[in-house]
Formats: sequence, C-alpha cells, structure tokens
Amino acid sequence: MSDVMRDVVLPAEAWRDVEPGTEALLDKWLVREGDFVKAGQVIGAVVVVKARLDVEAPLDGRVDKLLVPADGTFKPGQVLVRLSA
Amino acid sequence: MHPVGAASGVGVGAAAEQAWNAAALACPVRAPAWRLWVYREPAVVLGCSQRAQAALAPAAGLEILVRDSGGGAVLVGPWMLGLSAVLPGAHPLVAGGTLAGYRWLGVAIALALLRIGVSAEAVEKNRLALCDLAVSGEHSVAAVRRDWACFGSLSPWEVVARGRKIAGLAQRRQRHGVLLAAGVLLQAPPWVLLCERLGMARSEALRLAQASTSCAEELPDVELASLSSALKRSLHEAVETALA
Repeated sequence: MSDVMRDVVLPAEAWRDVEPGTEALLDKWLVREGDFVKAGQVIGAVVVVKARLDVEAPLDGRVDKLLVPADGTFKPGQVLVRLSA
Repeated sequence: MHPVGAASGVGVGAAAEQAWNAAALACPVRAPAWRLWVYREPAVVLGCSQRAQAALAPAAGLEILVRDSGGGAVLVGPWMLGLSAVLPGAHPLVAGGTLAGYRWLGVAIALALLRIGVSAEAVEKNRLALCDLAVSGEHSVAAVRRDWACFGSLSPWEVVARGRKIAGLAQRRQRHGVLLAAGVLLQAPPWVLLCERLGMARSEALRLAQASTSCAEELPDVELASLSSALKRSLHEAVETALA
C-alpha cells in the first residue's frame, strides 16, 4: 500500500489583504527530512509582513521533503513541506 | 467580564518585555490584555529573522535581544514607549488575518496621538508605496527594501506623522493567541548607536532620522503620562467596540 502524501501550505488567512506580489520568509524549520511528526505539532515558523506564524503538521506522518529552505522566500499557495502518512 | 485582562499596566525594560510577551502566549489567551513598556537603558531588539546578526555583533556594547516577531531592528531606550497586546486568536480584532491584526492597533495608536495633539495616521497598504517614497526621498526599489531597521521602512497600518514613521508594529500568531507589539517614538533616537552596534554605515543613521519622527519633534512638551493615558483609552475603546 502506498503512502498518503500531504502538501502543507501557509493558510490563506495569513495572506488575506496582503499586497499582491508580497513574499513570505521561511524563518526556521524545527524538523528534518525523515522525522516523524504528530498532527498539530509545530514544525516550523514563517514571517509574513512582520508577523511570525507557526507551521503545524496537519496529520501524523513523516517529513518527506522540505520544499522551501530556511531563510528562503515563498509565495501564496506555494508548498512548504511534503508529509507522508 | 471586563474585556481587558488583569495583566495591564506599565513594565520596565526590554528583557522584561520579551519575557512578558513569551509568558502571555505560553498558554491559551482567554481575554485581551496589554502592557506599556518604558526603557531606562538603551538596547537593540532584533526581529526573529535577524537572529544571526546577534551572533555576529561584538560582545561588548548595547544589549541585543531577539524578539519572537518579525521586522527590523528596534533601538529601545528612554525615547520610546513600547506596547504589548495579546488577544485570543478568535477575537474579532485579529480573527480577520494578519493585516486585520495590525489595522486596529495602528488606528488605536494614531487616535491616541491625535488626542494629545500629534497629527498622526495609520497607513493603509495601498498608500505604502507613496509614503515610502515620501520618507526616503528616493524613487527606487531599494528605497523600500532597506528594512534592516524597523523605522527605516513602512508596513501596512504602521503610524506616520507628516509622512514619517512614528510608530512601528510587529506580530506573533500561534495557537494560543495573537501578540501585537508596537513602539512609539517619544523623542528622536540616537540612531548612530543602532548603526554602530550592528555594523551598519553611519549614513544609515541620517536616513533613519529622515524617515522617522517623534512626539517631541511634532509637538513640544508632550508628556509620557499624557500619551500613556491616551493609549490606554484608545485600547479600551477598540476592544469594547469590537465586542459590542
């Protein structure tokens, strides 16, 4: 049976009313690829318009791929991390 | 139930401020609470994504702290009045998203400044480009990206007087609630201290002085007590109106 993959993006609420073209900063990852995480676990932090927000795991699983590196920038809807469950 | 929690008042010092902020979000926020901050000693407070600069700076010199919110470096000292406000994530003042959180606080600070006679306004996002050019005097992309220092750039709903930044904002959102932090300039800071501590060119001090203003520069004889009272009134009104 194959793993269920789940892409994690920053919730749309964080981007609401933000000027088009604005990018966010991936401030820090608290996990590494291969780590197992629990649903609701804080796995990283991002900065959007001077606001720091947590990135939480949406499900129990394994960190398959960190798709935005620490100190990298990303756009609305861009996948930050891929989890497998 | 009173809409503002019991943990309201005035605290002293940048380290105490950061500790209060951390403690305020250590468990779920049940009701809005806020605290004003005064600083007897100068210190540099870096945004969370600037933490590497703390390690690079020489050991001797002004104390350097890293806050848990974003944005550029802040030079705190007797020239600044700080503000921390925490709210439940579902509170109407912050539930609308990141910018909604900034909006009410920027408007409340601008109203407080107006009440003591300082002609200030919170700047909407669609006016930022114009204001950035106005404060920098430069018509280049670089003029709006030099945000290593909080008071060197403008973000949505920050507060200006005569087009110059007088209050900066930052935010921390997590599952326990939302923390908003603000700094209002009472007097012109010695910007050269900030530049020297972080190894920036002294010319940046002049740019920061041109981009910012303070209560004392806008209106002689502004008293800290007057601004504190006006801020308390504006915060109470904002919270009570939101829940009405």
